[in-house]
Amino acid sequence: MKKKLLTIVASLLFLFPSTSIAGDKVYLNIDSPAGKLLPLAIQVFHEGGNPKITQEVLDALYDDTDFTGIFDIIEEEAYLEAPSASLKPKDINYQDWRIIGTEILIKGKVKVSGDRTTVELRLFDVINETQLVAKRYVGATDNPRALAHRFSDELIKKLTGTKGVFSTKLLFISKRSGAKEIFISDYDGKNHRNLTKNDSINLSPKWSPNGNEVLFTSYAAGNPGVYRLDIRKDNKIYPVSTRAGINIGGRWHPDGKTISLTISGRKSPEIYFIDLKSNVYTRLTNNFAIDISASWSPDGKKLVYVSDRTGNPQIYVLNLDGGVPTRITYQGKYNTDPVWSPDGETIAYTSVSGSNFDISTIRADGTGNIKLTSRGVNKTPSWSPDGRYIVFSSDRDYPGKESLLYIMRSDGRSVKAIHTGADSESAPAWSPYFE
Amino acid sequence: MNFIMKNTFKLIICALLVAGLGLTGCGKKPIKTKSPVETVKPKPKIKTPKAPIDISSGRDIPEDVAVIEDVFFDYNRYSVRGDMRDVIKENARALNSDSSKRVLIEGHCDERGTEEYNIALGDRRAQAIKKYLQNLGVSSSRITTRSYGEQKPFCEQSTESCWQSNRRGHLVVR
Repeated sequence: MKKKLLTIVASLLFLFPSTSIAGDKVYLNIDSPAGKLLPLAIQVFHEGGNPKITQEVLDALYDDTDFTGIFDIIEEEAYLEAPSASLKPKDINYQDWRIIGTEILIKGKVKVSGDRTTVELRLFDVINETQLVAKRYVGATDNPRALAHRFSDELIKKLTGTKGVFSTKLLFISKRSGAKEIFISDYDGKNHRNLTKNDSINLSPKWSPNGNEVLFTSYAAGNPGVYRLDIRKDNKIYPVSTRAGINIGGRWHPDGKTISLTISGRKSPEIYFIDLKSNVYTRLTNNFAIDISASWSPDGKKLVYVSDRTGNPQIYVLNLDGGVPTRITYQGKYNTDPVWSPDGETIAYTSVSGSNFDISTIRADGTGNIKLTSRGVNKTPSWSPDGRYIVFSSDRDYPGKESLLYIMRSDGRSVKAIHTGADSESAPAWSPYFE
Repeated sequence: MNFIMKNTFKLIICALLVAGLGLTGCGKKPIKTKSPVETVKPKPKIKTPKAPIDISSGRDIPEDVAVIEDVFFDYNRYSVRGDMRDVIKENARALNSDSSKRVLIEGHCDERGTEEYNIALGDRRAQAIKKYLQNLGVSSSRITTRSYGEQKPFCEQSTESCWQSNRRGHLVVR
């Protein structure tokens, strides 16, 4: 049994170190519902300074590896080898780790001096007695989890061929006493903070492709307008489109130079593009229906959007090189909020049927429709940048009262609540990878 | 301000119902009303002689004054319902009788939808009422619209009467 698993890991690690297709294949093997979990041990040595920071690094490593769902984490009490300042491969007693069933080992040490935290972390294949990753990170003392997240990103890249999402962020809306403000947090809901504080209704936050800016809809000036703010600079809010009627649902083009949005003016709500440099508006749709929530495919060649031209909101895909919009959703009378998966193959959306709101996925050609949720009011899916997860909002734990953020695998398994600590949360948006 | 006005309005309606119809329990759902339209529609003033407001203020009740009323919609629809045409006609009459008045039409939706679509839907509802008023002679320069989608519900329970109450064009005269 163990031998077989080892073979999978070995092929994962050495035969297909970087090819993502092969990597995914093996990864799925490990991660399939019937698949065995990889026994993992995590040991971190406190080398000096504030021990709370060492504990935070350790906690984050636990949280990250647990999040993946591919490891069986061995409890610390079972460890035979004492923590040590030396992490060199020659100083590891692999036998001590093998006896307790460890196959993958994370060893680390944390040193805090003044306002600097130095973290050294290494990943070992215990069966083959090989070091897989060795990294040293230096950072401030205010967010030691971020250093652990960096290592977790490397770990997952080594094991699956695709970088982890542990350093990514979430945007979301938090509602408090009538106002809806935009918040940002780590991928796991930790370290949340306000991005807006205008006591207005702010909606639909979306990341710029480089992760530096946020596009959102706001009632701050009365009518709904589309605004942007730069989280890397001053956090100030700048208007993008505040024309008469509604200006809603701004989304970035993958090149970051154009946005799509819906403007009504004196007509029906139509989809427009705005060239951010020249500020030139181009109208895409022109009909009597509602056309909203247009977002580009990752290659920028197609657009997915919602139109109620048939009398009910349904999802359409338009090839921007020419052609007519193709309706892709035929199940149910109300399908909205489409978002492309990072690989451009699949579209996640909210399907509404009476009082049931669920997250569904469908291939961009309209085949393979799958409803992923079944409990509670589930809304506004957003993909992780590796395409493995979907974050969404749901009131499943407080029906009709409060919605929280949840993350599930993109096939609907392993749903986990994200506890940000903010009030009623909605409209999550998962960031791209940061450089 | 708006909220206070709404609440005051609700209280008045409630008081009228209690006084005029002998209903009790203002916090609860109105009894035996088929739709909130009937609940919200102010009763003809002559029929409510016991209303405490009229007695205490002692003001004259003007005859035949057109009243501004909200316009209700069906689920996921923005076409003006047959039973709402008279309401809009009455609104137009009220606005035409005083050309100094301007009106803001707020478009609202119930919670059984998604945020972006509901803002678009609320916009269409407000626009539909605006167009109807224009056709009845109200100058477009006196009408502004604003869609709130599902963001500012009038009622927060998950019941059909509550949802109906939230599917409306709310007319604010100023």
